Amino acid sequence: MFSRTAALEHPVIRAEGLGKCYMVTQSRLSGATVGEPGARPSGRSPIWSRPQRRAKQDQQFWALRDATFEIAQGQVVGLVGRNGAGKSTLLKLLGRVTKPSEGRAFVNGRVGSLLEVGTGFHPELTGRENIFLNAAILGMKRGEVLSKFDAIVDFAEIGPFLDTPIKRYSSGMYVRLAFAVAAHLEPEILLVDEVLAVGDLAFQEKCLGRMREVGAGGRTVLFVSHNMAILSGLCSRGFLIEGGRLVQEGTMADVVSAYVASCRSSQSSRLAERTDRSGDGRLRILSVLVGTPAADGESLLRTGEDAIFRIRYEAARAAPLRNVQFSLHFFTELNQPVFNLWNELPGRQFRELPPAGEVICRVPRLPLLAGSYVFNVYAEVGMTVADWVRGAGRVRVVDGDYFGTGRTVGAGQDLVAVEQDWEVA
Amino acid sequence: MLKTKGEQKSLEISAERTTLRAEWLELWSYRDLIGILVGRELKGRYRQMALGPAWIVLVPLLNVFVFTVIFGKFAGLPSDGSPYALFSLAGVSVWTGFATAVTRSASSLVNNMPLISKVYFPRAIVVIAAAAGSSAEMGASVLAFFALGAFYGVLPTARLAALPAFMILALAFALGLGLSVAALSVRFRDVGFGVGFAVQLLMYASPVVYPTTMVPSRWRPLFQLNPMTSAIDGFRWCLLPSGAAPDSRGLAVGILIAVGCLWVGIQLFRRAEATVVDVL
Repeated sequence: MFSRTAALEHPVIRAEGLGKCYMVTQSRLSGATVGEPGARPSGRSPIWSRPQRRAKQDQQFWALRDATFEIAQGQVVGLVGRNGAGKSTLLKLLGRVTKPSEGRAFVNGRVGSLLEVGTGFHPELTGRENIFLNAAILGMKRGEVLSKFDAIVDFAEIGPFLDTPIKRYSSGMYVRLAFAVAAHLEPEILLVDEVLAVGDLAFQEKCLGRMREVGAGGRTVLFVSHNMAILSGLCSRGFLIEGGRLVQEGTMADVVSAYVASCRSSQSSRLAERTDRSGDGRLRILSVLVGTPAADGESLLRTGEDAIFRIRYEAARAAPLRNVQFSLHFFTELNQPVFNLWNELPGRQFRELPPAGEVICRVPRLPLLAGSYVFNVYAEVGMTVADWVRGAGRVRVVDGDYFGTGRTVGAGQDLVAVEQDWEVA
Repeated sequence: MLKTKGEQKSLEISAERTTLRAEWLELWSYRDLIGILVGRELKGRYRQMALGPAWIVLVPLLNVFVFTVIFGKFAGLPSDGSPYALFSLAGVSVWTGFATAVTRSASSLVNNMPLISKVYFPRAIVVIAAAAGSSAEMGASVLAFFALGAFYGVLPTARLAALPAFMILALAFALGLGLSVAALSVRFRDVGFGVGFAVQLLMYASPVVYPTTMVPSRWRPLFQLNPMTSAIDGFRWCLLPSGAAPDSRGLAVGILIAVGCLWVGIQLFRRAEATVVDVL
């Protein structure tokens, strides 16, 4: 039970070969569904094991494997990796929400967690009652909570709604309270999973400030985010997780650049062969060709010139597809959303499409400034997600003559060029 | 106070199950949480109701009214020399508590998913809290019994002191069933669905609306396999002046079965616990 010899003097968290396996049931209708963790180490299967006849269809899926690391007290560690890489699974294991399938971890201290928007809140209880509930879950005594109570309410800005059941809270209020509770109940280890995206900017700032304080106060923070700028600013150390493996650990700056580089290289693999996609597969996007009227498939665009995106797709069955929507969502390298190309926005609808073909999206006078951008591609058939690939491709934009004046804008800090008129009033 | 580093134990997270002893200790350290969850259980149940907590007394009284009319008057079932209303209320007060304990604890994992999926605490706590909350229902019914008893001129006797023992018997049996059903319902949702019906059936197999003496003596041993038989007889003995002491052999069997059921429940639950979040 007690930690043995360790490289670190006082590791707060030590993991040895930690892994989590899920059984994925293949079903033609609904795609993949995640079931119980498989591979019981004991080999004994209780009576509620999945019936034999379905065994063939189940596949093991290791959400996380072989995670071995140590984290010292007071470190603020950022976890990066694509969606589904295993970051959240790692936090769930450390927060003991779910049990590992193999390996072990040693955790020293009280763990507070904010997993996937929300903490241990009960919707029927009021804000006040939930604060006490959470405190009891963290193992705090009533007196301890009372001393923190005002600070929590202040921080969450929920004063007037303190005695309202949580189920009537807006999502913003909910997250504010969740964060306030997790950050103020003085857990020695704070696990935060991508929750700040929900709050407004002012609150995000406040949370980041609080997390800095928590880290500076000698507590340990594990933080998952897709926002590289926030991670770089907050974390001293970084873990890069890919395909369920902890592939790199080091300074946050190193890990962020490794992550960006790994995104770049993996995106060069052909879209049609990518397996990290979601959706029911009724339609599959084969490729997205980026080009200009002059040069197709260049992946090189110029500010102020027309851009053309050709999405090639194929249906799972040889029948016409009804009510199809396509979207290309663009992000900066640091994962800041920039804009969305979506056929519904300009009111173009694809009521019926052939089972295989190509749709084209034209962007006149591209306003993007020089830089490198990543896009997600997404397709919906009849209101359900058919295919969705994050980080499906990358475009490079070079300086161009947006205003037709022979003057280029230059990239600097800005993302877009904007049409403008100036005159003397 | 926060623990200082020196006294902190390193918590191990692994695939292996912890020992039963460690789990008991852990449950004990979370006893405050049980209290809060019981409070929530009760508050939540009667919140947003016009009559609120009055229901806790009204339900058994209304039940007894219906039973008295149907089984007492129309069917003319015997009541071992007590007024039928009092006789059935004594049975109903244990039974209602037992039935809510079973159904509530059986669905407690599903009901508490928002909590369970976000943060760790021993999962058995939600089941225990659900069952423990039902003791409040039993207590309220007993109070209702005293009110109705005063009306009939029946006053509490010294035998009342034994009442908590029979309460514990009923709740232990309920917790055993609840833990088993909660564990199985992780896998099979239909178990949770069928439990309401099963409890309904069990009521007619228990001496709630009729006295044990009505059961032919050769069937009695089979009848006494149901711990609720002894629990209800025990309640009647404690509450009614004319109540007969529960059959000692039957009581022993009932206690044995209830304890066995609790043991099975604990075993099933400990196995299912690990996969709850992944499956539900």
